[in-house]
Amino acid sequence: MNYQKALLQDGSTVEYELVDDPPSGSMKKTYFSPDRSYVVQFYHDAAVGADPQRRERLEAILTRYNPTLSEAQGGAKGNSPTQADYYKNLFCWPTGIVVKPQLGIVAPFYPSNFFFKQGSLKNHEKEGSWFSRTKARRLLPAQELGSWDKYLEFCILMARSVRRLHQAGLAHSDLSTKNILVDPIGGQCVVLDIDSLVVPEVFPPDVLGTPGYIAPEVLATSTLALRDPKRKHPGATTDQHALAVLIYEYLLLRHPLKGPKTYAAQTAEEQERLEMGEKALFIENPTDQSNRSRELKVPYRKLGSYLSDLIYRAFVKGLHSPNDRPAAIEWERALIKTWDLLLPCSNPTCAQQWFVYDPSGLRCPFCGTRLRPAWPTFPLLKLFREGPPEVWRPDGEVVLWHNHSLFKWHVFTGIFPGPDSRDKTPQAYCLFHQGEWWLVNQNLFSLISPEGDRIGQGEALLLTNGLKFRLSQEPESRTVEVELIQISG
Amino acid sequence: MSYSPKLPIYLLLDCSSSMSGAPIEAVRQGVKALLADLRSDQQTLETAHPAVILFNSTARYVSPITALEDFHEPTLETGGTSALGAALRLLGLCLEQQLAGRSTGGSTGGSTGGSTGGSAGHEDWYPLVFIMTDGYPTDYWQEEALKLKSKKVGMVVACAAGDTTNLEVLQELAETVLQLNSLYPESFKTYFRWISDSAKTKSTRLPNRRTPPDLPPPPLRVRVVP
Repeated sequence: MNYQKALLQDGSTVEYELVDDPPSGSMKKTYFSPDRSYVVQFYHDAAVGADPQRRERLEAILTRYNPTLSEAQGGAKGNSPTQADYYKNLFCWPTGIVVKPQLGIVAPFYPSNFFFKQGSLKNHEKEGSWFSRTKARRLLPAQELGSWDKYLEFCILMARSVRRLHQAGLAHSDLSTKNILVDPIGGQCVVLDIDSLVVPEVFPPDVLGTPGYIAPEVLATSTLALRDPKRKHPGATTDQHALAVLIYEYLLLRHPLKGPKTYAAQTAEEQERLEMGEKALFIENPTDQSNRSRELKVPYRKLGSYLSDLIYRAFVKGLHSPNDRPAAIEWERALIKTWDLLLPCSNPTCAQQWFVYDPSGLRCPFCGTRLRPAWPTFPLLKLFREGPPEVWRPDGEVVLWHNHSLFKWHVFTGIFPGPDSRDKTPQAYCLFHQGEWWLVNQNLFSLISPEGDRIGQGEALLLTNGLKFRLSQEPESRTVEVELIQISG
Repeated sequence: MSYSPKLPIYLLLDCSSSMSGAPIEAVRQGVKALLADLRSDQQTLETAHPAVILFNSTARYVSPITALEDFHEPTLETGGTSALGAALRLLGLCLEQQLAGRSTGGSTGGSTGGSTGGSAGHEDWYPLVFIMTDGYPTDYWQEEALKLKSKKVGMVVACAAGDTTNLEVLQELAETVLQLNSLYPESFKTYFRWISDSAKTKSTRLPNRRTPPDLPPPPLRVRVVP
């Protein structure tokens, strides 16, 4: 083992194993620490090391732009230790700048759940395209594929990570399946290549992006000179395009722009620039079907109204109009609201196992099986929030199922799931018992039946069709109305 | 024609040169998040009327009170000094004009939507004010900030933008200070709430049975959204 020492900017040293053919990306090569808990990466181009702007950018990324360090530890302003710990899991954020033998960075290595455990890909990284393409999925062992609810979960984390970057005024500039590793079994993801973060007008992007994820306006103007004012560069709005593509791919297993439509061109590059750039067209565009794929088993509308709205905005309205694209925070919200509408598929061999409740039909869109569980109905909880006093306005819906739980963010309007809502104790759970649906109170202090009976902890409220009640009597709590949805017949 | 009360929302956006780069980008994202929250709530979708005051070396009213459905995000470019005091003074003028038009049910000063009111007695909601800045004003702003405290507003929220904000200034500006880099979905909705007493439940009187005696225990594995 050839262990070498690298000198960091703060004077400390780290060890790494020098090998002949280290893994290499477009900008850097990677060496591992002896215990493989961190990596030491050096830039290929020596000139990069001499560039003071590069050094300045790395310093800023390690300190004031850093959400994985609390403000007290030198990280981003307003960042609490809890938030820092949370974001440490979502980003492989650099922890040090290497100055000798050349300029580089030290970053944590991603944990073992991002590596395949079985089959011929054992110990390989879980790069996203293995899971988002039908042909690639067929090569994976079934146990590595993960269920659809887990895909929704890591999409939430992906949107949240990008949201955190964007709100700090930064942009990633190269979001793709290569730079965001996913774990479909645990529902996790981690963002890589943080040292290339873009700060608009200050630190420009290093790369154009990855084919398939480059925003149409960037690709269409990519042949212009770098300083041409008409040229479009990667930034937050192009990240928004890449994020939309990733979410669409993971949830529907196809690319939103790669359809049958082609254009005559002199070269393959020119053809790509037309198809994915200037002439890019959504394969499910409602008014222009010329790029519509034959295989559209699951139309995007099957994902429910929250996601359908954003998909329309991203790929119809916003495809060539960057300011109309949904922001990452909107994806985060829509994905979370959609999670509350999941129904379990009745087919034990369905690869997805979960689908979004669609009032027009109770059939899993992935395997075609109609919902047929052990009970004739399921409760749909309609949520209401108080508009002016005593006026209740619709505020979303939650599908309840046997052993599904309600949480604080369902009960109160000021709370939303995420790094800031640490209280994840279930407030109540739903049960099908002796032919009826019940809501069993676990931690609600003022759950009162419509008759005025207090439903204490461990006690249950019978859920009947049309029943309306308050989840709590505390301020900013919600009213709910129960609708029992018929499954059979 | 029935009159819908308006909820005026004033956005004071710092476009001085210290805001260039990450801070102004954070403001763009903050405005997007605010608009998304307004659009996703039926009540605010119908009533919110945003207006924009930009300030750097001068303060200017670039977008008067407009219905949410007609509102477009402002284009933000940075440069110049940071005349926060001038922006607060301009805001004060807008608030006075709006207050004058408020109780007569007519159109508020500077609004473009035209009067939708008819009879007297219609009242718009008290305005919300969001000030997005890095906290380095260059004019005499403290006096104007004090005057603002005496004006009739629903709420003033100072939003810290960027990586090197001066929180002391923001804390003097408003009781509520928000960090733009830690917004989560619906975090602006807390500020749209209306004061309510403990409301009475509108419920149907359906028979309810007692808790069954042999209820199974709670699920061991709990599904939680991330």
